[in-house]
Amino acid sequence: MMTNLFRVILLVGVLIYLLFIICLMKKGKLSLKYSLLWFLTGVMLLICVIFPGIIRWATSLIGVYSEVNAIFFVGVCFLLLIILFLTSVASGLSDKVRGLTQTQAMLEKRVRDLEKLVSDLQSKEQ
Amino acid sequence: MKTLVIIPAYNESENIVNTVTTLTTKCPDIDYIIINDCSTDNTEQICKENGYNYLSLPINLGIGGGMQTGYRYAKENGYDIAVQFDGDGQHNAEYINALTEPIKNGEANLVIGSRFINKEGFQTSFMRRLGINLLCGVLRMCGHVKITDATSGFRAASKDVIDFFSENYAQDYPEPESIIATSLSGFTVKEVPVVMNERTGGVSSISSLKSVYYMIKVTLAILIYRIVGKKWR
Repeated sequence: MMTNLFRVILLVGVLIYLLFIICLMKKGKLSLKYSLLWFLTGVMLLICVIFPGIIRWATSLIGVYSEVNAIFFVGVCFLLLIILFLTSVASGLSDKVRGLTQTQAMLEKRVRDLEKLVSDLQSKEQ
Repeated sequence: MKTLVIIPAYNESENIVNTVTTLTTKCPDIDYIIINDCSTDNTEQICKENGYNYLSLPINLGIGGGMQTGYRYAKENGYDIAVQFDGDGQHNAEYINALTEPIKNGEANLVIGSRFINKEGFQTSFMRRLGINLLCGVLRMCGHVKITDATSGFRAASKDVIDFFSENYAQDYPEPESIIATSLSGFTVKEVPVVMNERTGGVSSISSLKSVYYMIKVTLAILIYRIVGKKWR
């Protein structure tokens, strides 16, 4: 059973969490792609806190005794998924950075070669 | 055939002049490119002052990313053969022709210079040889390639392999991984005997502490290649 005190604490926590996300979105510190994900989890939590019947139903569905344990279990699963997702995002980013670095180095060499060519031509003219 | 020698250099200020001088005197008709992988010493300055042909990476990418830059440069400039050549004086320029010969004859796409075929010259420590033999065993089982010197960084690549490497080249410790990647992609890998020197300065990219991690990581990487490796052509 979830006590009423715990529900109030959860409610306040979820509201702060949602406010924080909205704040970050407003400042443009979360790109829309990822902010949607976090925002939806916040909304889901809020619904669960307001209607505890959903959790009670889900708890009996997966065969867990305590509702709080079910919440923790789902939470940990969700966090694992998000971390995996972030790792894949980071891998993609590092690939992109590598590609950019290589292209930049090759362009820098071309600029250097062209500068040398120009200065050679100029000294020839004089 | 247009040949490019790729010289990766990370903090090689002690060796780079020597390496380039011997290379250009022994193989005057071959182009070279130095990849300065964001060195913290004055490697770049030395390259600039001597008028060397070099690329300077703004971020340290490690040996894999640096080498890939060389292959991309080779592809962009239409080279037919690319030779990897360490900037630390371990590799002998005399053997570059021996490495490129099988590619010119169309016998192989990737040629690896092995110090263990004729067992001449610098043979590295016992522990390292053990590790190299283990890796060769893994390569033989997973990729059906018979290699005696899996970690040799002295190798030549044909035009097809240059294209392949410029798009996907293993990072971190790329030598053994690139062997399995090329062989699983249907390229022919061949070994020729070479003589290597003990490095004259600088530090090897693999320290003794890291070697256990290196072995596990490379073995896993080879196994993963075996399982998910996709055909490139």
